[in-house]
Amino acid sequence: MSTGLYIHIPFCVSKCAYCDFYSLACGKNGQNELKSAYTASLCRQSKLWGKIYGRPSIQSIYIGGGTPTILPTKQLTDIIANIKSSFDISPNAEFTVEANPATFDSDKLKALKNAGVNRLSIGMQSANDNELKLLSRIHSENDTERSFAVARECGFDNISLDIMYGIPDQTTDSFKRTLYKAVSLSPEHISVYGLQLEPGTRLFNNQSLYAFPEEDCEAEMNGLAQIILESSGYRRYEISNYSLPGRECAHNLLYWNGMEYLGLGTGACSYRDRRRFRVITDIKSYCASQDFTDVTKTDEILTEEDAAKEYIMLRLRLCRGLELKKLYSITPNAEKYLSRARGFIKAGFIEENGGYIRFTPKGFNVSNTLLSEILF
Amino acid sequence: MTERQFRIRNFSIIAHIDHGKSTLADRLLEETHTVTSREMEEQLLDSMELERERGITIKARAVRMKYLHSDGNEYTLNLIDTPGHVDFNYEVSRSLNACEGALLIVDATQGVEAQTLANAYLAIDAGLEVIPVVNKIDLPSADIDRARNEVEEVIGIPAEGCPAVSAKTGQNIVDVLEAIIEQIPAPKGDENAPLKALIFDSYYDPYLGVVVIVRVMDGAVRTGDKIKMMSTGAVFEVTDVGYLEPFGLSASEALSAGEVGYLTASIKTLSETSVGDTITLADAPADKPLPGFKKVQPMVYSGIYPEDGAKYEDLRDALVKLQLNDAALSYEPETSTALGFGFRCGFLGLLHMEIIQQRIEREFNLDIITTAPSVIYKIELRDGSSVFIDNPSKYPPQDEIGQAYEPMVKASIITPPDYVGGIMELCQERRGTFKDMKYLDASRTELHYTLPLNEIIYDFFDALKSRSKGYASLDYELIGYFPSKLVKLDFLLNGEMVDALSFIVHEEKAYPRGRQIAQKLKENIPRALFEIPIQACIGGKVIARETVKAMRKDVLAKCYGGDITRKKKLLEKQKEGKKKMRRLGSVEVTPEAFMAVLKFDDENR
Repeated sequence: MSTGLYIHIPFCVSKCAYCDFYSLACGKNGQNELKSAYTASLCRQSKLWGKIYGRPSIQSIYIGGGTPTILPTKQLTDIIANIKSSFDISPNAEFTVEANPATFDSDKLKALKNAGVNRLSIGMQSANDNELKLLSRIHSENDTERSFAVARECGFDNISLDIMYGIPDQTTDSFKRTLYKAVSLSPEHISVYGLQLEPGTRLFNNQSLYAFPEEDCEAEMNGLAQIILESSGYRRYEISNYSLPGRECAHNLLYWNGMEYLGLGTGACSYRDRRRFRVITDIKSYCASQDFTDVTKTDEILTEEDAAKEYIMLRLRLCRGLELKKLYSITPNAEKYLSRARGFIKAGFIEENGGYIRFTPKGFNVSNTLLSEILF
Repeated sequence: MTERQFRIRNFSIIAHIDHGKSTLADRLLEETHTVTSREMEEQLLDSMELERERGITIKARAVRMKYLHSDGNEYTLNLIDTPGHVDFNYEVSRSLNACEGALLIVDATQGVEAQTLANAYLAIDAGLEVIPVVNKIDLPSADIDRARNEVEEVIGIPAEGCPAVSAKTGQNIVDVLEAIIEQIPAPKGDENAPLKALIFDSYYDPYLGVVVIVRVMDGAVRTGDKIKMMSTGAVFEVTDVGYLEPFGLSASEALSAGEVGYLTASIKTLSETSVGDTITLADAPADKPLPGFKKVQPMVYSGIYPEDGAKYEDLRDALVKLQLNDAALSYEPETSTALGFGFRCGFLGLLHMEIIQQRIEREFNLDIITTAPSVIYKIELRDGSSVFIDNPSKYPPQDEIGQAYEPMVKASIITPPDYVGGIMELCQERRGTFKDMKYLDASRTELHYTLPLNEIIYDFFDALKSRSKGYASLDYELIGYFPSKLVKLDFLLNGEMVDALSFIVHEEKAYPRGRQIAQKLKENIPRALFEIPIQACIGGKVIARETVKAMRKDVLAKCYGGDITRKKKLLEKQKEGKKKMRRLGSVEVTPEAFMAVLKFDDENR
């Protein structure tokens, strides 16, 4: 059984208006002591968990944040070296680092490349500076372009760009501009996220101050993304993800296939033996912890049925859909879920063929409603 | 008149809501040592809710006090409380008939108000001796002379030298007691004549059964007597009679002509003791009942449904219990295809309806959906017969109707002159006919309108308040049925009629109301996977149309390792939210949407 590894770096230059991930805003070079302490703690956890979980074989590694590239190069390479010695990393494992434009230079990227990182995920978000400002991103359109060029120069041949729709004041035209700009850089992978208002974020708390695009407009943007990206050679393989053939994100596929994963660092989540657990979001306690049992809490322990529901929920995110044979093998209630799902075929939300059942593009747009009906 | 009768005074207090009726009652109880101030304080502390509901701090609606007059004799004073709202006009009139006099409280800072006026006239019409009492003289803006003048001018009763008090501080309270004894006549009535006792209140007690509150007009009643309700002929055996004390009942041998008290007779339900009915002795009955009895008829009807269909039995229990103490509430089972099983309930008026709805929600902890309130229409059919309609679903097809009639009221509105324009406009919009306008004084104008009852049952009072910054007051009484052009307005969702949304409306109002409600439905029906057409129809004719567009986007953009548990729970919650929705045909509507559709605000009319 292959396992994924996630490492969380909870530091940012500044906090983005929409982000609900755990991170501390510390400017370009602040919190140096905390960063070193955190790095040391990550290395400790990596060693310990490698041992506890029996040096599992790792198929994909994802260092996310926060902004991982805000850490000094030495700390990043230390962490990576530690991971490599603690776990059994498969030779063809995908190894992604999230890199925000304007937070890295070629020296840092080269070092990462040398350490074994083979994929970058760059948070472009938008090609319009006023939209970037609204999201309180620290970079500009030009920064994206420059950073992308640096990444290529350093030899990264597998790069993903994140872009976003549903930003306040965004129009279909401005979103088109973002799409074309992304395509013009020729990344291997593009994630297209609808902005979600998460409780606790600045955007959520001040939502009345902003003009968010209407539901119909957002649906139109989402449709535009599919048309423009697919006509440019990208293939949609998941609700929010497009890639060139063979360049799907292995790490994310692992989540959607119900595989196991371990998460290191504050807020990082793990799933193993039907137990989902996470490290609490308290960096001081994390840095002080010796065996990490005091900073780990269980989200839930899944029953067979919970796991089956999750599997349906996650697999239906994929364009390939849900394999009927597999569903029958994991739950005695397969028929119940399938008959509910089949109720949506006639209206064009779901289709079934080749032993698979899947959402149509129309179904993807309203997948929450459909899933809540199918699962519960 | 006997010596005993000579020392009795029966009176009530008439006041506008916040003019200090309960405070004055409290002071009278204290001054007569019926209740000590310590008891009063304790009572005040734990009866706040009750006080708000009943407007008086004593538990009974009538209470007996003893007062040693300056002439050296002890007098019995029976204070009879009256409800203050226009919905309860009939109860007020019966309570007044149990008295020989009334205190009319006038606020020294505000003067006479519409509701005071209406009740004052009821008292004068009932032949009562009305004693004005100017209250709140402790306030800096008090103007005693002006208040007295107003009473003389507006109500037309002498007020010179009337008591001027502060119920709050207790100043001059003795003047009130002296005036009661000197000015209010002692009760007349023949102790040896056949029994005639007026029922003016009753309540249900789980141990005693129904406790009937009466004023004995003639004769006497004793424990063991066989009594007869003159309106129904029902006979009961008296188990107990006595007087009403502030904190309970005090048994006595008999209640005789002129006295106020209670009797119990193993009566099971309130419906057997109608307010206004006359009690007599079964063996030696009076030849005719006291005048003025009428069976209380609900004026407003609405459907009440449990929000959760499984709570139907709970709702029935709640209504059964509420009716034990509220004979004016009527209900019968009703089924709606949209809302399932519920009850068609009849109320005296809107306030009564709101009180009942709130008590169901608060005291019985039930979430309910109520349908639009409706008045009772009278329909003459082409075949010559006529029917009364309290439910839109029973409205006959238009081509069977010869002539429709709707109930009209005579409304009296008192307002500062600044708001007269806006209020006239409001009455106009509500199909009112202007009758006359009187300047009471520089600060108040009284307007008289004839208005259709169905135009004031929704939100007229709220609209009136909002157009007068809260200053205008309203009183109305039913004047009968008048010919009208009515239509039944239906609403279709996705081509299916939703019976719970139908209502009867004047032809003139049908188009704008149809459009507004279609619009409101559109705003309040959540987008679903399918487009939902909304149509407003009269008969088969569509008069307004809206569409709830299909849901276009409801998707979790990201769902990675750390999100899965939370997102799964969100989906489960989403489904639970849906279970709370009401299925109207193929469309699901939140209960909130239902209420929003039923509530009209002034601007939306």
